[in-house]
Amino acid sequence: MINASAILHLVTQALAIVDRVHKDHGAEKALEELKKLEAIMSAVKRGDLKLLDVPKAKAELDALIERVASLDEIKKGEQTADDALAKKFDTGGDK
Amino acid sequence: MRRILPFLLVLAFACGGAQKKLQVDAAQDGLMTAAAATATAYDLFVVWDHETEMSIVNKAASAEEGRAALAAHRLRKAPVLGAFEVVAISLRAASKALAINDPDPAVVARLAADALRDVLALQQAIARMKGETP
Repeated sequence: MINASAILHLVTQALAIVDRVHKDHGAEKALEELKKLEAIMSAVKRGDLKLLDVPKAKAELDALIERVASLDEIKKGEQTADDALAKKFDTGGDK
Repeated sequence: MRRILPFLLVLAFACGGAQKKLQVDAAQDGLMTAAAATATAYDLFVVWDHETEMSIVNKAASAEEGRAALAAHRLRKAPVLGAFEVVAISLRAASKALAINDPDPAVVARLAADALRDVLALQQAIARMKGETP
């Protein structure tokens, strides 16, 4: 997935290449490279190249990893069950 | 020819670079799929596990019986918890590999595949455990 910043960076680099091609090989060759760039931008517009908020997705992924690695919610559930068992028989006595 | 060679090298690099980006994007997609499946499996398991343990507590005729039944349940679920930890490690490794500048496509592809494989193993462990629950 490519985010907007990465797209801008790619476009800047591509234009620099086109400029170099123009200087070295003339306008016709530069026009060929510009057409390739246009094809890439069309793909982005169609959604073939995805634009994604990568920092947000990564933050969510990292949060999930820490959540699963810690097993905190499962441990809390166990504690709740232990407390409920203790409460059940502390207040009522053994049946 | 000497003037064309740098141009050809730039084009070859650009083509190779595009291919590399596609491979890295595919690995990123695989990682996100593994993450989504993990999140779902974890959420569902947390709820099911808690309901199961509270059911054990409600059915227990004595504190000792309740403690023994809970201990047996927790022993059965240990492989599932282990599988969750393995998945977390795989996801973390794949995430770190993708986060670096210019990741190696072969490496990130392998790590994303490992994460997907570990998620599948997790789902199988959960299914096995639920099949054993009385």
